[in-house]
Amino acid sequence: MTPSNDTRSMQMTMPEDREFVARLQLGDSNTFETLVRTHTPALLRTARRFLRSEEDARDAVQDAFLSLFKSIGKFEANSQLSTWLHRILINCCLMKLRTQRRHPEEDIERLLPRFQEDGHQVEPSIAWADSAETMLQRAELRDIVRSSIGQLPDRYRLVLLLRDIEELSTEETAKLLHVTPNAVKVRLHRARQALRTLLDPYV
Amino acid sequence: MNARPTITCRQLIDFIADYLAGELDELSLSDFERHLDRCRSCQAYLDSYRKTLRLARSAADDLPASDVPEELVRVILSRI
Repeated sequence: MTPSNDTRSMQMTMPEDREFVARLQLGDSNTFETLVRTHTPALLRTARRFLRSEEDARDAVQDAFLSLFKSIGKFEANSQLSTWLHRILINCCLMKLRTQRRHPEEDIERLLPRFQEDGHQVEPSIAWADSAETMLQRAELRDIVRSSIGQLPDRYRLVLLLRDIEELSTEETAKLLHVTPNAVKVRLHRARQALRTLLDPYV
Repeated sequence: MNARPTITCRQLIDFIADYLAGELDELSLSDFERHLDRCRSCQAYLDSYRKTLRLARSAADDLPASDVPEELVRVILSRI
């Protein structure tokens, strides 16, 4: 598995040397500006995946930098600053979602395969003719994929984002969402199945 | 010879995530593959499940990269 584009671009462009971190820890404002300018585009992209409004995504990026600024003294120079900042951002996004989640979530059952009593599918699956690479050449299908991910109830959407897009481990995801690793596995499988159902009419 | 009864489509679909993660034990893997060999519907489902993962990863990753939003940078720097 490879890290997402955001993580890659941050790792390639971010001055990660100890001297840079030391200047941050001394509170050097030019170094902070470099940090903010380097990381903001990638962080914003990640925040937009998690949060549904642009305003919330921008707030989360702000919160992430403020949180990093407050805790930079505790940063250990042998870890990756960009990875740390990315984790802080994901936490900020999840905190924002927790404060917003007030409505009962839609049931995912209608998007899962249905079975007869003997265990056969009610509607047998039909093969998707094109390869994923061919499908990805269709710009409108990429939009449909993104909007379909957005249609998933949050408890499933977040697991899909954290596991399949951000590529966190089951254990890391469980910790962030305050659920058991087994719940992560169950939700991930359901999220993928539901996404498959949503994409089925377009392939 | 006592052949083990084959698993159902429901069981196979339940096992897909573990199968792709390489987490099925030897016996379950053998049951999974035996069913898959014979069931066109499950072959189609597994293939489309795999493609769903690939599509999700790629589509989420190719959101247009934004330029550095100057206004946001200024707000952040003013709050630090």
